Formats: sequence, structure tokens, C-alpha cells
Amino acid sequence: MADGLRAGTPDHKSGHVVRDSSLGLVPETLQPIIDMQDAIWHHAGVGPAVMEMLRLRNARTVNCVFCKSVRYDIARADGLTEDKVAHIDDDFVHSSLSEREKLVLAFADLYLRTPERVDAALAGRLRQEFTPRQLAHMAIALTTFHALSRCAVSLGGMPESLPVMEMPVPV
Amino acid sequence: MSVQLDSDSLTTILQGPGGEMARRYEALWQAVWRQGHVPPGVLELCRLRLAQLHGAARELDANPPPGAREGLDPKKIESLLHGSWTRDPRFSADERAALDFAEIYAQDPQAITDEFAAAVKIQFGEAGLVALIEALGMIDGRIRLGMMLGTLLPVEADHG
Repeated sequence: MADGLRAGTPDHKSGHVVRDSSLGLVPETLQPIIDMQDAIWHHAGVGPAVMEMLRLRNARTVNCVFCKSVRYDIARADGLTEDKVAHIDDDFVHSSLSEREKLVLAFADLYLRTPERVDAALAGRLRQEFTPRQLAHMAIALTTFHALSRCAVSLGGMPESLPVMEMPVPV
Repeated sequence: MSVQLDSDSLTTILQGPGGEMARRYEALWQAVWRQGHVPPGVLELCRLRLAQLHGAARELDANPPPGAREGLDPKKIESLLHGSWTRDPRFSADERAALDFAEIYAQDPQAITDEFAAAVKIQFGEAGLVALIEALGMIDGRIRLGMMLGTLLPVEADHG
């Protein structure tokens, strides 16, 4: 882990967690990133609990301490309990999560670990469980989570650990 | 067998079922190439290097993003694709800093050191470092999606 953040933050503070982060140094991409977050959490074909499972599976794979510590309130309100979150690990296949939830995590692992090898049986199960619209939205959300968590890790300044923090989605 | 997509095909395949979210994703992708901190030619070299590292043949053969190769010496692309760019004097200091950073990023962002980040900042500034990292994330993501969505989201799929 790096000792300090490798890029600064904007001089002007807005009170918005994303605008006030290092991402605020690049105004050309800042609003598109915020618009993307809004679409993911408020206009997707799957609910916030599914999105949060994708986000946390990514966070734990990338090992982004910030991302791992966050729980979005709308995902909890949508039914994602800490009991379920505890199963988002490498042994999720043998957990008490529902088959649909396990498929969500398998989809995440496909993207995160072996995107070049799509197992035909898994592809069939995903297409049976989710509509093309839902798969497209899950894919876009996951790739956004992945890029942002890798961004946070790359910028350094990551603490060793943080407590779980519930917060609203920054849109 | 997996069906790989290039970046253009990915846009097409996401637009139908993805609707407004796909439109916003595309807007972010375009913004990455239009930001004013890291030249598109430098990002294009990074895109090709990441595609190489992923073994994404379709992405390597794909049309580049609009304007990405303007002013970019084709011999540099050739050198990059043949693995000789580290010894090629045509590559500038800013291109080298970005490519060195991209290689570590592709393997493990946790392995990025302050020295690699500082080398990028010397060339592009702090905002440039952030812009490069954002771009690498988007490029890496599109390569991953291109490799997996060709199988999961066939073009003829209905958009329910």
C-alpha cells in the first residue's frame, strides 16, 4: 500500500464525495462518471441489491479498501443484508445464497477473472435467468465498478482497513 | 467457444438492450478520449498494449477510436505490436511513462509504485495521472466486455 495519495484534489470543495476527490481534477470525465453512477443505481434493469453484490465482489477481488467498506443504503433497503454480504467470497458457490444471487457473482467472476473463457453452460444459465437488458446493465455496472476501484487503488493512499460505512449513492 | 467483439461491435451490441445506460457508458468512453490532459495518441498506444496483454485479437484488429491515431507515427504501433517499443528511440518520454504505467496497471494496480506514478505526473501533471488511470480502466473494461459479451449477448437477441 502506498503511504500517500498520488494525486491531489480540487481546491474548491463542493461537498460531493466524487467531485471533491481526485476525479474532480478531470472535469471532462467527472460528470459522465456521475451520470453513469446515477444510471446504475436508479435506472437499471436489476435492483440495487444485485448491483451491490456485483460492486462488492469486484471490491473484494480488486482489494479496494474504500470500496469494500461502503454499503449503499438503497441496496440494504433492497434486501442485501450483511449475512448475504458475508457470503460474497470465493466459496459463494457453496453458500446459502439463492441460485440467482450465485449467478450474479458468477457473472462478476467471469468478467474479473476469465473474460476470455465463457463457459457455455454458465452462459446458458445467465441467459435463462436474466434478460439481455439486465445482462447489459450488469455488464456496464460491473465494468464501471472495476474501473473506479482500480482507479482508487492506483491513486494510492489506501488505508489497511476501514469499518463498514453505510452511505447514500453519490449522484 | 467464446465469441470476441471489438470496441465498435461492443458499442453496437450494448446500445440495443442497454438503452440509456449504454448511452451514458458510451458518453464516458468518448469523454476519456477527449479530455485535455493525456493525448489520444498516447492512450491509443496504451489501448493496444492492454489488448496485447489480454490476448484480445479482435481489439488489436479493430478500428481505433475516432482521432486516436492522428499524429501517431504508424511505425510506433508496429514497434509496439512487435514487442520492440522499449528499445525504440522513436518513443517519447511521455509515451514511455504511460506505457510503463499501463503495463503495471494491467497486471495489478496494487503493484504500482510512487515512482511509476511520479514518472506519469512529470509528463502529464496530477490531472494527467488521474486521466490516464481513468482511461486505462475504461480501456481494460471494454476489452474484458468485448471478450465475454459476444457469447452472452448475441446481436440477434431481443431486448426484453
